Amino acid sequence: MARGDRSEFAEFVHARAGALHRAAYLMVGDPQLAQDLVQEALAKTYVAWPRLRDPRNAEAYCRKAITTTAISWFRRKSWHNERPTEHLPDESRAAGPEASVTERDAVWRALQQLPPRQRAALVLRFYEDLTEAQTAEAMGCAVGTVKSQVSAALAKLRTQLGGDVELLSTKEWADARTEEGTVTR
Amino acid sequence: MTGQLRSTLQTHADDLDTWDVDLDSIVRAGDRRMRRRRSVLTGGLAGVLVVAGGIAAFAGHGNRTGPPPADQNAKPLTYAVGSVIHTGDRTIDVGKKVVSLVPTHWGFVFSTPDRRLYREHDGQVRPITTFNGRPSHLSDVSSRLVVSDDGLVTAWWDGQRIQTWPGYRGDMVDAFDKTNSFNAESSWPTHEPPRIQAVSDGHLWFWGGQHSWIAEVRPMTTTAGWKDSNPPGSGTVVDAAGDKVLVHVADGMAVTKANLLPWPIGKQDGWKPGGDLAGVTAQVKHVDSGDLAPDGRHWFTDDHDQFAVFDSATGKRQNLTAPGFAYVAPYQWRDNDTIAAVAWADLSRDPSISLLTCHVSTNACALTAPDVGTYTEVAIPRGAAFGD
Repeated sequence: MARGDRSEFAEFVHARAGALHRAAYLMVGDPQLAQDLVQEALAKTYVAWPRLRDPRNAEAYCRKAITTTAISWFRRKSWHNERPTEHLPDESRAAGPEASVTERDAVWRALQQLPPRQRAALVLRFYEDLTEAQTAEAMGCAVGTVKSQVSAALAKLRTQLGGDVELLSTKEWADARTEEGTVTR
Repeated sequence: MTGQLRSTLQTHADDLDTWDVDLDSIVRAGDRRMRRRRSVLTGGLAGVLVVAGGIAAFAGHGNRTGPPPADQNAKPLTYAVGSVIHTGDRTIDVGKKVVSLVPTHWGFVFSTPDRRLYREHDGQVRPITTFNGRPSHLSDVSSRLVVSDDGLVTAWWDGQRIQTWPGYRGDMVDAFDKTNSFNAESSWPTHEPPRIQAVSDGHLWFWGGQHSWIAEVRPMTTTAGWKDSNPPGSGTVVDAAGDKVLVHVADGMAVTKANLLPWPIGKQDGWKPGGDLAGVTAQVKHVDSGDLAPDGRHWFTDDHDQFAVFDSATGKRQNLTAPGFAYVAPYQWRDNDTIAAVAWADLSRDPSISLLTCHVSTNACALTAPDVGTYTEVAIPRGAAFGD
């Protein structure tokens, strides 16, 4: 790689590694694993850098590498160290500010129990704020697959958390529905 | 108002400790990856030669433009999407997802996601098996299949042995490893498996961790082992075509004569190379991978992400152009003048792959098969999967 490219790549890494790490962490639920994942994805981005140039292209490329690598890691390693449960503890349904924290913990635990593709789809759609098309690109799948993965993920969360937890706000639900029409609120 | 899903994701992301990213280790990993990718992208397919006359003349897909192939016996443009192999104007559904493939004298050898190996002949698909009837497999999904220039012998590393499949002997493979009669120096450490570079003219060339080695694989697998004689930069043989080898010496590449000589081994005749790489100097500097044309007169590379063709005798460079494509990677000599290449217009926005046909005689590339699929769906006849 040319010296100028190396310097641009270094700039990109320093500017975006933190954000990429956060997204990766949400997908895998483990900070160290997320670091390994981003490190691996950045190495792939480094290889592709001469043909990416524009940092926006680089970020999209790196995000895709993170997502597809995360999914394949989980598949290869058959990580089943967290088992799905039928229902989470009742404290998630308490009222008040503390209840909000508890609800988030419950949502977080339930997220960790989703299959990796479903978890990745939710992170890309509701944390990264990607469109369905962008999410499909990042996951290396069809838009229809994103729709079904998001829908299935939300349905599973709903089943695990019970009906009182408002996973999506009215607006988020309407936005999601506009795009695909089958999201379970 | 924000729903619990979004606020949960945001809160946990915000709570994450700052990460001091190690740029140096990323760059080192990237450099290693580039070296591996180049060794996969180049090397084995130079030998993929025009097989005997029965192969259909090229009939491409899509809106083919530009000059026709110089050699009407050029290998047909070939690729696979899912379980369907497209070759010239034929399609063959082999019933299993094709991860990597090479064309043989009879049809194709291909691998599947479970690393198993199969051969296709006239639409019939059969597993390739070891001598004891077990299914043959690649060492890992990124292992390469390498085919000989005449399409008669396919070779791969299965994690323990170099396996060769001489198709004329049915579905069974031959194997050789460090326990064969190579001397002790030919042993390869388990953490650095041998890398098959080329099969050409009845010989298999591989990198054994410290030296380049050669073994005769046709008509019988023998142990005509040879290591290079310590030329500058270790003189790695990168590719072979007929009696020519493309070698990496010191800070560049050169094409030289392989000098295979009769060499009696025990009471059998074997072969040995001339061992004269010691005097070879780089013709082209700052390049470390390449793929020789079937006649050995040119070689291509995509080092530094630049598609270039070099004259084997003089080292003179030609840059082939492909307007409209941001990245072009050559992968196969279809004849002595024609190169098949994969191309992307914009990798980040449109990951779909197009296939180009490029001619050394005109320095030009033409779109031959547009948008055949993404890298997760498509396999091209270079013996390795896309990606890693």
